Amino acid sequence: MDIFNNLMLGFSVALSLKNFIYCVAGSLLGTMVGVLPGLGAATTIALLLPLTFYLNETGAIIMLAGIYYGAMYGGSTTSILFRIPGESTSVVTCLDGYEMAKKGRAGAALGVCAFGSFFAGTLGVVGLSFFAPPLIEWALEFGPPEYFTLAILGMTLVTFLAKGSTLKAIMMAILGMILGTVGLDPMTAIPRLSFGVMDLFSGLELVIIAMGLFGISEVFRMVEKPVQQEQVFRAPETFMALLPNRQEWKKSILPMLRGTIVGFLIGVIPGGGAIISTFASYGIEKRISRHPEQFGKGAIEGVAAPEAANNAASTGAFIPLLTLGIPSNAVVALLLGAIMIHGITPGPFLLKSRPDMFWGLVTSMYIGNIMLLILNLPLVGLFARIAFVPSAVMGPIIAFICILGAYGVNNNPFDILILLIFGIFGYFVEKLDFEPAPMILGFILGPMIEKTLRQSLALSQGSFSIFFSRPISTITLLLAILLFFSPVITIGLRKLRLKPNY
Amino acid sequence: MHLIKDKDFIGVLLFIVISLITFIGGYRLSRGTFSEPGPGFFPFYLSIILIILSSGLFIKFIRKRIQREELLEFKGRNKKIFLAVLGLFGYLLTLKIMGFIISGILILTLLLKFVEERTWKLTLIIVLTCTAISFIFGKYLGIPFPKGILGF
Repeated sequence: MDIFNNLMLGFSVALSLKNFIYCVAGSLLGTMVGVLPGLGAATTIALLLPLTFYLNETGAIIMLAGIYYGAMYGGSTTSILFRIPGESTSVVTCLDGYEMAKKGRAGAALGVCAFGSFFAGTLGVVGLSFFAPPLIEWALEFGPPEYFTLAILGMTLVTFLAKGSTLKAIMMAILGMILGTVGLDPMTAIPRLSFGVMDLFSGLELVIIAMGLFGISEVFRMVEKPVQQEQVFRAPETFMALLPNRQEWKKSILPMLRGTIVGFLIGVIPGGGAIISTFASYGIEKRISRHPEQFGKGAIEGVAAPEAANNAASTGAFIPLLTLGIPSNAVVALLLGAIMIHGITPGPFLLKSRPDMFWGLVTSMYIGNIMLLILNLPLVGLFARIAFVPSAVMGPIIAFICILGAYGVNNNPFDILILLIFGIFGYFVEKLDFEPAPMILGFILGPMIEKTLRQSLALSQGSFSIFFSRPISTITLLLAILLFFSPVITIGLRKLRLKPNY
Repeated sequence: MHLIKDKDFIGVLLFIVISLITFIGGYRLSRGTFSEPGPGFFPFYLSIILIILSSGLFIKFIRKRIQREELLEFKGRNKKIFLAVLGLFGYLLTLKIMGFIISGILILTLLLKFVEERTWKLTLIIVLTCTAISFIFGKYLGIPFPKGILGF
């Protein structure tokens, strides 16, 4: 019952009245700042970090956990309502969340989002308590070849992300990878594809590209529609009608569970990242769904699974942080910084030297999650009503918020230019039936593929056999090949079965 | 004969241009060897893959043309979109001279009143709300917005 005792210790630390209030305040502030796009969870934490300096160490960490969850949820809110991914991890949520909002089901999407986060958070904490030691050993096996094959596996998801032509989706993904190389080469610091533009040396920013491709291009599409033709839904009268209905709940439970498992496993691998887990779980849901054609048109599974995965991955990311002292993403790195400011060194010894701190942190993450659910369910009603504002009013506001957010990322007007360029590009290529989501996936995975490929080839002195001589990378690569050709295989099998027996 | 207007054909052209730019960019950098890949290695081979994929799309386009054409269409209010794009680029140019607040007010008014043809009352409400949000951003979150010649 060791784990049970540990969790109890954690809860007793986290649940004092004072800490509870910090947690509530953190969740509220986090949501408020997180709703503004461009200000992701990492930026929000960085902005609000000074607030926590005045608190004691446990209080500070608890408040930060609240801010973190609030910011994550805030990012998903704008994805659903405005098609502005306020956060890189909520890019996938745009795909079906916004479509749901257009059909008048914004409340359902928001509700599933909040509940999915809570669900994944709960299972994540359980996973963290039970599986931390064996998982960390598994994650330590990952060298450059394993990361490379993992990223390749991620790239095969492109075929599932696409609504239309697979060829066009792969072309967009390659373009995303090319864009990922813009800026200084991470290994030699030589500027690449920047064509002498100094502002490009630091590379392109994911959130800005995503805001352009999804947000600004949507503004142009809104402008395109004649005023008389715009769709206006009437907001439902009762609050309950805004929330997910029974059928929607039923559809989301299994995707949430699968999303949690995928997210947790990917989150544990340092550098795996919550973003990849959102794409992965979306791909899996679309693959196994009986109605894959509904994805991208407002399938609730497409919101439930990635949101759960995202949250489970963030919980999983605590395993390398707390056991090895390795922060696996920017947010966790900031939390690490915050812990260190209070004079505590995370790492293998934290669990032994400060069990109250370790479990206090774990449980406060969980309490942050619950708080979010309680605070945000009433807000769902308010947010969902925003989705009923006619698009002619919405468009200019979205444009303005995107500009504000893009500027806020680096305080550089050049970023607004990048935002506009990608907005126009997104609008134009969507007319040519090229979709933006595969490009984002390529942009995220490209740098990882390049770095690990170069490292692996350097390790093996130019031989590609390195990917087939290590067990984890071989299995991952085989899985990738299988996944890539699985639509063809399924069609083939179906044809075989349909063949008449005469 | 709507060759120029076919979606796939325009797509092929667009991506060929992108891959050529990347090809040149990657070619100029050191590509290194397989045992020691240089900075140009990845962009160079990506551009080649993209050229091959674009050729694939071109073949698909030629095959398809025998059956049917899918044309790129700009339906709806094209002039308004043009006005919006022009306005947004104009905004970027005026940002440094006018400052964030004033150019923000101008672009929102342009989009709401002239692109979307809303009433003055609604335009005013939204412009005021957005300006207030920018103030909060600048004042409490410490984002240094460009100040114009007027000093705010």
